[in-house]
Amino acid sequence: MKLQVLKHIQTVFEEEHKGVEEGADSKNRRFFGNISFIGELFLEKFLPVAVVRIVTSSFLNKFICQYQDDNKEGERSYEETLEGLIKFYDIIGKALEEKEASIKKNKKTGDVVANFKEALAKINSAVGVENAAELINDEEISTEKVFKM
Amino acid sequence: MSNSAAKTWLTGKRTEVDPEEALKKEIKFNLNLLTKENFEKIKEVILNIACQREESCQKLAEILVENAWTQKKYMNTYAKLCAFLGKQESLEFNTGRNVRFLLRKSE
Repeated sequence: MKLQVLKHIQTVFEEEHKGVEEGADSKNRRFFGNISFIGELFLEKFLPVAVVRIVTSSFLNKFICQYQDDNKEGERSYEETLEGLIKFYDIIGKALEEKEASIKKNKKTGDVVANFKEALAKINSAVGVENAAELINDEEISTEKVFKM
Repeated sequence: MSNSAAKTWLTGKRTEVDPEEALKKEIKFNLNLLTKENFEKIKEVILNIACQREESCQKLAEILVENAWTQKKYMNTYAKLCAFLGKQESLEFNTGRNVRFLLRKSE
């Protein structure tokens, strides 16, 4: 089901990039509808962050190309692309920020765990203790010694 | 009786229903019923339709996405439905073929 939905969304997105000829009005409606729907699917966690990055980069690429072409010809077709991008970020902006923040947080936690493991390894190599069981045995021996005394 | 009247009678009498058309009508009918209030109830009905066979799943995806593009008011509900259907293991028909198709397209 997921693949079927993705197939339809992707087709329209690619059509837009290839510039398939169609009525301008229906094309615009489909394009903006598709962008908004991609945003909503991201909010529902149906699509991963990677898709957002792909959409953003292709939008920016298209915008830059159009901007350069339009400056030569005196047109303003890039406004439509920019509008699409703004609409997209209007929908996903907050959720994306939260997601990126949680990814960073997870990365930090991962770093702390990695540092802790590294520190343990250093202690292990410096002191020469192979495992915790040895420590426990040493403790038991020492307590026995104490009782005997 | 005139020729055109007889023709009308014949077309009206036709009882054979195209199964694909019936499926399309059923999906559209249920999707049009879908609102935030009755989401929990309708999603199960739609899931039952999609579970029938691979074609019904494809048709549902097609109509669902088209509806989402045109009906902005219900876009959020359609996205929710997509997320729900995406989690259903019973809807993964022939996934390998679809993945290959998607990969070829994305190249």
